[in-house]
Amino acid sequence: MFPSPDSGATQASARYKVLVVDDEPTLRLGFSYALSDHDTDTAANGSEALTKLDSGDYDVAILDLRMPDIDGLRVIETLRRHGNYLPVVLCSAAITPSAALRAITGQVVDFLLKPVRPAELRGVVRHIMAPEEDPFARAMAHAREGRHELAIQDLERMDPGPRVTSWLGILRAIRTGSLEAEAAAFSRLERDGLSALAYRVPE
Amino acid sequence: MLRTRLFFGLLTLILLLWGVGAAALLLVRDASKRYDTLVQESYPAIKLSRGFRTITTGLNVHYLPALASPPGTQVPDRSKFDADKEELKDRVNALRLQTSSDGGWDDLQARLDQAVETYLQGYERFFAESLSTQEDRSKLMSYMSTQTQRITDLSDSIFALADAKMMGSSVKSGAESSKNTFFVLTLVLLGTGIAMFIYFQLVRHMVDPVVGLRRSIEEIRKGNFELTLPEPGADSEFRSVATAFNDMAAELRVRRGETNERLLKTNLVNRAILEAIPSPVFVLGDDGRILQINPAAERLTESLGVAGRLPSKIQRILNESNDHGENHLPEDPREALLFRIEEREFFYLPRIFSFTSEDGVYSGRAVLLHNVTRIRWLDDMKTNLISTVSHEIKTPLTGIRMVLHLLLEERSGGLTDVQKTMVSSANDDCERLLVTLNTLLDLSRSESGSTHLERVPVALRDAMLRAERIFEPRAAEKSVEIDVEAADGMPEVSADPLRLDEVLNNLVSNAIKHSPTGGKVTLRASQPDAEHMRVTVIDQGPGVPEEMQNRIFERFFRAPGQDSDGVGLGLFICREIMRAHEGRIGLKERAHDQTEFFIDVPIA
Repeated sequence: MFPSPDSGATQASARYKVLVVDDEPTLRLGFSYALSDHDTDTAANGSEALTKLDSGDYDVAILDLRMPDIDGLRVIETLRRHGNYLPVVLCSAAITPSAALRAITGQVVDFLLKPVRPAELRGVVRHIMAPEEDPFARAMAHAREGRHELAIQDLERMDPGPRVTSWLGILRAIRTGSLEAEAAAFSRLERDGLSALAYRVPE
Repeated sequence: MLRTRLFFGLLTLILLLWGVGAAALLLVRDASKRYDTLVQESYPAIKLSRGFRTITTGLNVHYLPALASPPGTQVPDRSKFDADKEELKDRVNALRLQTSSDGGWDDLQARLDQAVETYLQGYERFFAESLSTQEDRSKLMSYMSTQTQRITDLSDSIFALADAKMMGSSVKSGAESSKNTFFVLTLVLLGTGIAMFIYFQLVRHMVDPVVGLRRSIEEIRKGNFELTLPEPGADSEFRSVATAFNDMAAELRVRRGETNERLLKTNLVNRAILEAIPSPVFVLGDDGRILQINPAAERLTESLGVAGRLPSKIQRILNESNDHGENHLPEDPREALLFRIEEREFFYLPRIFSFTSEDGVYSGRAVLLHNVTRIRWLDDMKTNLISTVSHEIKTPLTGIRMVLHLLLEERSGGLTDVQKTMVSSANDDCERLLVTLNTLLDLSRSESGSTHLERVPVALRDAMLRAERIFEPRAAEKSVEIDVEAADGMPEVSADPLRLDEVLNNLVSNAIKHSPTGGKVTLRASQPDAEHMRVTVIDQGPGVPEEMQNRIFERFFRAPGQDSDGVGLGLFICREIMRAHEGRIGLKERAHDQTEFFIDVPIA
């Protein structure tokens, strides 16, 4: 591996163990470099990721959705079945509504839409591991831990924007579990193109 | 020649008429002459015979009273007697002159002659002797009376005879006149016969050909050109007519033959064309009945179970286009109709156009079903391909972009200026490529998903204000002012709010892009008709070149010489969205140096 580049700016923040899972070697390389402030490890496919996650002790995983053997969603579901509630960032060029629903049900609420900028990558890790003190970040933290009710309460207190509305819709649909609500959330996601759900660097 | 025949026939009739008239005149004159003769013959005898009694009575009255008176009475002088005696003799002589064929006539006349003689002798004795005794006188008296009686009887007989003779003549002349009547009747009958003959001749030579001509003309009108008129004799005026008619019929026969041939040929060509067209074709009459269909149409209707009829989907479009009085000539394969045949899907694009004969008498419509199944399949393939390829390119590109970004962050070491310029340039290209890929993905999504609209009542004004808010920063960069002209309380439109925003955003984005620095972009709401609301986006840019105005809504169209990024899908996607909304999008004619795009959205 290449030596970690030194940068004074990130000295203050904590180092985390991050697993980058992607079938694209360049992306693995890029992600690793982008996250060079942290201890990164890489996995080229789903099964390798599962093996590494089983044995290693990681703080967060950056997971590609589309992979040749086991895709990101199945990796998440396997992890959760094994009682591993590691924070996961789902990273893909296109996330379908059903994929998003499955992911959120599996307590994955952080999405990155490819192409990803390095700043976004670093931001999302920080966002998960050391959330800012704002209602949205708090709501996301609740959702990440499976407390949808609390997340909804937090979101309801916020000014309605596209992002908040989207999250409210989908979380309510998961809470009620009804097919109609799910369908409504689905069509909403389809129209929004999922960009509202994705993580964005705070401006 | 009929004329001469007619002339001679009528001449005969006239001559006959003259003959009958002359004969009648002659006969009448003859009869009157005969009557005259008869009267001349009989009248004197009758008159003479009537005279005898008068004279004798006159004499007796004059003289006999003297005889009856006692003797010695003056006897009247004999002068009267003498005169009457001459008179009687004259009459007897005159009667003798009257000749008659009758046998009794001469005898009667002789006896009258004798009786007159005896009568006169009696008077001679009266005058000669002086009759002294009473006895003599009475003897003479009775004698005279006997003789007078005798004369009277005889003259009566003669009168009767003459009268009978006259009557006989009358009967004879009656017989004569009936003979004459018979003669005249014969002549009249002859005349009638001749007239009848002329009539039949006329009918045969004039009426019959005319009737025959009429019948033939009717036959020809019915289309039977095979008929010919029998040619009359060489001397008939109708010969030329019949010949002319037959010539005409022959000409028509030939013409029809040619026409039939041409029709057959045309028919054959038509059939060949129709059969050669692989698309089902229906030719319909003005009343909507099917006049002709080609084998492809037969096969299609058979496999759809509506053999020989128009499928109901097409009938509906046909009725609609009929109501609008327009041809229905869609170009877009996505307007095709779906038919399921044996578990397979077929797409047919119905093209309906009306046609009218050159003289405008006949009209109808033709329906051509263009099979676009393969085009649709290719279109789907293309969309899928674009989608797949875009995704496949996008994935490694994200890696490249990530690396470029990292390099530009210079966290792995500083870059020289040249290196930095090169990496920046590569990064720009990478960004542009990503934008293109995203548009392509939008396209494939819009093509596969533009029909899934969630239409709700939308306040147009809000949508316009949203667009204004979004683009305000970008407009500010170019010092362009965005102006929204929308009144409160306008009818809401039925639209998918996100899709509508997409269209508005696209139009506003274009408007800002083409605005000159410091220009103004106006968003104006109006109501063009009862069913639509309109948003017009006006900019003060250079406008769309006229030759490109028809093409700007096409896929992948980019106006040449424009430095815009993107692949020319914005307006195409807008059009797709408006089409899915059953709305309209268009570019207005340039006026006041302004470019005006508009969208019409159905009112909720």
